[in-house]
Amino acid sequence: MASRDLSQARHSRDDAPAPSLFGHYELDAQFFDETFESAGQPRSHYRLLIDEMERMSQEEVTRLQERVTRSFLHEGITFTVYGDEESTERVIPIDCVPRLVLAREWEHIERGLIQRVQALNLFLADVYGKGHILGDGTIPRALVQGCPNYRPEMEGVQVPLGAYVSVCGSDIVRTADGFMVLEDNLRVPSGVSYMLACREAIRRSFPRVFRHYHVRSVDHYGQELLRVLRSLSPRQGEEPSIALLTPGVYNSAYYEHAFLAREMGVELVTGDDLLVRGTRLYMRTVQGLRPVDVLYRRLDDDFIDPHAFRPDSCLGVPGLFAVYRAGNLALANAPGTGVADDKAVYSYVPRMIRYYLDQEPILANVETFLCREPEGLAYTLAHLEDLVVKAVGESGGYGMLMGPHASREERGAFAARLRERPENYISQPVLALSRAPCLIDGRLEARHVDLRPFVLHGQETRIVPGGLCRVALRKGSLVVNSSQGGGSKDAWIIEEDAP
Amino acid sequence: MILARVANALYWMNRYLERVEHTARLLGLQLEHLPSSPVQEVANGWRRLFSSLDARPPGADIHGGPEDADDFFFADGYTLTDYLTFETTNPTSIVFCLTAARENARQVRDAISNGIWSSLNRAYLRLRDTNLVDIWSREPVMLYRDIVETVQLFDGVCASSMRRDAGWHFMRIGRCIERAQLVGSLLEAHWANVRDMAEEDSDWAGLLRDCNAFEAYRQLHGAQIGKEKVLGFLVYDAELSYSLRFAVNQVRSSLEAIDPPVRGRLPAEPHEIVGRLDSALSRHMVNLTVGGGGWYDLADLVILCRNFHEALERTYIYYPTEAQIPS
Repeated sequence: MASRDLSQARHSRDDAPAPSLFGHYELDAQFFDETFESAGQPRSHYRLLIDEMERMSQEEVTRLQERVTRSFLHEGITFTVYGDEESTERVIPIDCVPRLVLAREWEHIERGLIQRVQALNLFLADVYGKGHILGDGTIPRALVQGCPNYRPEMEGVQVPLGAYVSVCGSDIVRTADGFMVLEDNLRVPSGVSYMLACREAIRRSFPRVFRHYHVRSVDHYGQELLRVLRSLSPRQGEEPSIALLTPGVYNSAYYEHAFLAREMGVELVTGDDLLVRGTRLYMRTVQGLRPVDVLYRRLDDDFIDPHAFRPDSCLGVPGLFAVYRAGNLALANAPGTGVADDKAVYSYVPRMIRYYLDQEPILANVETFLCREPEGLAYTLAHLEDLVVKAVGESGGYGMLMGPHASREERGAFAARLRERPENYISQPVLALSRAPCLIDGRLEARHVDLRPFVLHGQETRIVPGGLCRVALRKGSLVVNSSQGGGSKDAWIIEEDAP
Repeated sequence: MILARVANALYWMNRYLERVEHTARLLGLQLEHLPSSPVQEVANGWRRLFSSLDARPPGADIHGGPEDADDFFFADGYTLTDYLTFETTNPTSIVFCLTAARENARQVRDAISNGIWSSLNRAYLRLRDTNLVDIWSREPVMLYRDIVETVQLFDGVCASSMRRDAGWHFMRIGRCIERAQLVGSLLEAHWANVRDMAEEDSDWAGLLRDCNAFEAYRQLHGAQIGKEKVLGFLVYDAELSYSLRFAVNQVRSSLEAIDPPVRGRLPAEPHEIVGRLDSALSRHMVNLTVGGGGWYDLADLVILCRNFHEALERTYIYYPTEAQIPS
């Protein structure tokens, strides 16, 4: 079928020479381009993919894109946007051109992330345990314990395997200087279902090239996650009862929660399904109550237990934290991990790696200025137009200032906020994120991308080879968050000597 | 083992789908016969349809009370069709029920396969993108055939992909208890309608068609259509999938699969109620003639169906948890 389509495409091109898909593709010396070395000169590993795409007519490529989007709609891979009167479901924008990552690049990222997640777990065990790193001043105690996501309730709690962070989604960006970690998501990172759904849709779209590239598989993510969750069970030697706790269908990541529960074959539960009796957690089945041993919770710390954390939460389970403290329940991730992905604490991660592992960091951090420190604040205020300023407690691209793109007034207003609560902010240079081709209005244009691999940590630390490649679909935008007009791409980890 | 919330959502998903299919089938038939039927029959058809849904036509409040037999002469076919199909504020409309079925499916997205979900989701998206103005002048009947087929496709996907576990049985209970209730109400409404009419004006064939039973009836009884035979067929036939007896039988066998009765112990409440329904139907204890001497009226059966629903919720979904802790 593919060959017939291709021949038709060639045929139609003979009649009237259509503009090449890449005809408008612009390179910009400021930005590393994932696909092209120079104008018209694809990087060698991209050649096969580009040949394949150039054999297609513009209509074919557009149709392919439509098919992918439609299949997302039918499968319900959507997020909900709440308007004034009614909510609408939107498809996660997915771009059909895969991003290719060479095996050697991937292995570098992989080693770097494994190192990082191990250090972060040791850090968490330390700050909620003996606190060596705070005691000797390597990291300021006030910074850590003053962080809004520090949970004193976790002090002295025994965490199975010391795995505070079992699931981590770190954002990797690439500039001309190489790969860097932009941030770690250690609380309830999301996006892995989009990685898997993108893979399924794009593999269907480019079956031939996919095979030729020997793309490494990500399909076993559900099994790997299940293995980690089982390893955390407080009742080793017995078949653990595992559930995934979701805030419910109105949560924007509900699709992912249902998807992962199905992939793993575990129950998807809401707070209403669970209750604490005595010292154990139970779920309500049609045949009465059944105990739960491991909870993969996709609910922020604040909401998991109104007795222990926010009293007004109706999403969680009263008494859950007491069951956890008593060692009768494992939680993934553990409460309190947010202290380690705080935007200010982030700047200390390279020091954590040296401190706990006695190794040099494999992946670099982005240079970060802490506004809580006088020099950091002074530097930030003096260079506002060149910096990104981020609020430490926020995520998802909220509460930030993109210096170069902001107006004088916006910068002025932000500076006032900075002076008022400097400890709430950090700043970083604007990164020249690499770009990759995306299908925009029927032709390929360069857009900024990042990569979020998903690290799993239990008895060992593993990463399925791939990640969610996020794209800033708005022209010139550097913000890839889906709440801010971002989309996603499939990322293929391919062998060096592939065709 | 199945979560109580999941069982409840699967049950409701199927109740709503049964309603979708019922309304679509009856509407399709009504529209098909609209051009060629006498006015009285058309009005009877609307009345039967609305009564089976326990609903009233739009504007009924303006024109008179619930007993006003002329409601249907004030509303035209377009308005009634639109109201029963696309009116999102009408809890008996197809779009309302399909949306509710899909919302329930979304609640249990992890418990149903991709194929089950997408057969439902596609139907929802299609209906959402349709409106009556566009199809009214062409062939509106096709829309209803399409909806009925969608529900049948959904059933087929479920039947071929699901294990016969508790989830499956809760789905079947939802489907069949809703069917029993709808068919019971439909028969009751038709009976009330035609009670004083001559038998040849009473459109018993239409009633058979409404219950998907016309072909089956003809195979069994031949082309001669008589009141008692039709009612007996739709109430007592043990092999007809739209008969009351068949539906109740399915409910009973699914309930016993979920929670097998224990010899020597008092039956649970849902078992007790479905047992009463079942014996009323298998022993032909229902009044199907004026002044008949049976133990139950059709209305009593419909009430028993409602009681069954409440007992099911009390026993398996919203049960008290205090006494439930396993030792």
